Amino acid sequence: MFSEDAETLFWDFFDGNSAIKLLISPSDGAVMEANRSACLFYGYAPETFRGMSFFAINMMSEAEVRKHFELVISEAQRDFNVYHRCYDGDIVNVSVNFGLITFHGMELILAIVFDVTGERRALTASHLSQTQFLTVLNSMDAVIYVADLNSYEILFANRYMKDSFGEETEGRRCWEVIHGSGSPCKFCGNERLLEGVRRLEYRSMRNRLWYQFIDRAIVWIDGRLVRISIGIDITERKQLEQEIIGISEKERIRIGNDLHDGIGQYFTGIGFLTQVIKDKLAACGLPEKSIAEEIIGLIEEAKNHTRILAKGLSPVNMDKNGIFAAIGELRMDTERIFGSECSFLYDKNITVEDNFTATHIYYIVREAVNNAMRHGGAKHVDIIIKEWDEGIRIDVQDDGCGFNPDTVARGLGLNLMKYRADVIGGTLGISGGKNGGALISCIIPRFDGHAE
Amino acid sequence: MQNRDIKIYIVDDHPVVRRGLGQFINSRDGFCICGEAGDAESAIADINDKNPDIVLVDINLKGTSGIDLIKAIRSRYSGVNVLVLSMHEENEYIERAMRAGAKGYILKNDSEELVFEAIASVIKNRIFLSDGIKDKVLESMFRKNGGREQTVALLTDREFEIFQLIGGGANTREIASALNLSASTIGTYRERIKTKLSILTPNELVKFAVQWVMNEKNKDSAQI
Repeated sequence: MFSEDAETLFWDFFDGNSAIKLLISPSDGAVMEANRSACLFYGYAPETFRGMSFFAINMMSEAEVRKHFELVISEAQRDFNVYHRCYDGDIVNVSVNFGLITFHGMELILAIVFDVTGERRALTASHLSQTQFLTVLNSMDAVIYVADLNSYEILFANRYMKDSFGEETEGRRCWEVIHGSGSPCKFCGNERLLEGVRRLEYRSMRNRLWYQFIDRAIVWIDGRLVRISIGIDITERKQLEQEIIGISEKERIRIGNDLHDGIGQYFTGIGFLTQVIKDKLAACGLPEKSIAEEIIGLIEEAKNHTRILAKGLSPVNMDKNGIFAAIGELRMDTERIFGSECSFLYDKNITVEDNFTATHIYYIVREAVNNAMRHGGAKHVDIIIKEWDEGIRIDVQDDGCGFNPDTVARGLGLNLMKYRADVIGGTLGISGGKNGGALISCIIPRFDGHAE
Repeated sequence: MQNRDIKIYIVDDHPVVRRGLGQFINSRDGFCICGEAGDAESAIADINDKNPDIVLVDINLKGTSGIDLIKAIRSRYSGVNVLVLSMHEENEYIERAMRAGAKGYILKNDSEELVFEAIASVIKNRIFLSDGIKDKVLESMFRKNGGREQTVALLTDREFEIFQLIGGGANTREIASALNLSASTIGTYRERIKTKLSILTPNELVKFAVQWVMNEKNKDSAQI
């Protein structure tokens, strides 16, 4: 039996705080007592609640509730997450902690009820918000990914990114996924992102498409600093740009070739015919022979002018080996003009059918050789053209003083070489050569010629 | 030969050149044009009928190139000499033409009279190059060439890796195992390496690779 003090203490404990408590008879489920908080929570008057069946406020069947009681009595489980119905019909999600007590000689179940409806709603809302967020990101026609600022590890990639670069994107390094390279990109500006947004355009070495990226640093959900990159495919625009710029180049090359193969040939034919006239005038002893000789002299001059003009406009002859002939001449001219050694090696199986591509390769090599001689003070320069994967690789390596990375970025010559490499679908790289000089490499992965 | 005209056949894809050159040659005693063609295919069939002493060939022809035409003429009609008349003054073309079997090479920019000088020389089976070309060819011949040692630079990374393993004494099976590739793939690589280095036999390749690897080691130890 409870002493008076103990009974007062129990009621204070039972009723004197805001926890929702019920005393239930395990045999028939009758609510023996319901505290004030319980009455407020469920909406029943104390006298109505007392004597009500606990099964009636449960959304589960009586049999299932009885199973819970059995688990509590056997001390197998005490906490249950269930749904209860309130007086006004509201369904509430509650977490119920059951305990066995003896009260006035009866074995009763003390149920302490926690309302978790708000928490559940918050969790559901959070899940919904995440799903909405991912749906938005995944439906965008843009590459969106998040990468760790220090490790370059991709933490998140949207559907477009995965469709563009493969499903296995998250967990790998950005430079590996986008360019297939083995080290961070030379143009990577991770360290400058803390200063603000960075916009850049580049071409993926893996899928060969051009992207315009907007990068910014943000704090990721786990607290670390990351880079969020949003990239739009601008390949079509780039191609159009290059085509427009290329029109004038192509026109120049066409005029050069027309001079060489058209006008130049006419002068040759006319020269021979004039010789015939001159011979005939001479045979007849006519003084007009001197006029014919003058015409022949003028034709010679015209032929030379045409040849020089054609070379200036189109330095590479229109045949599959034209590039090698032109670079061979460049090599000899370099030795003659600068007094340095210049070697030229190329794989004889390679041909470059497209004169436009060949001309750009020639200009890249010429600029690289000029840089080596004029700015690098090189005594030796090697030009190598060889096959590379499915394309070709052009190396110009010198033993000069190398490149100064601070000034090289501003050089017009270098930008022109990069532009030319872009136009023919290649990539230009600058690094240190074997002997301390510079190594300019241009790789054209798929080109109009072929490497057998 | 002294008693009859030298018969010349012209192959040039520019009609104006064929016309001018033809009239010029025909205007001189002792020389006559026996035929002409604008492309290599027509020329090959026609040369057999016309039986020329000399064929004047332009390098730039539509379709089959002038170089291939020179090879075809030399292999089918060994008694017919070829003289190149071209716009191209680059060494690359001159060397290719001469290697293909041409006896002479003159430029369309040279003076017209030089054609007869060249024909007179070539008919006597003597090599003729116009002055500007001669200097360039000689310069090219006497310039310092690195030879086969340098051509190793033409190998791709994978070919170079295999070349080094060959030089280290590994056989095809061992290389295949080391690189996790099939023996037939290594065989293909070996053939490509041989082609790029102008090597004819497997033994020569092994010999050269071993020598190359040893030289590289010596260079390294000399630097240390």
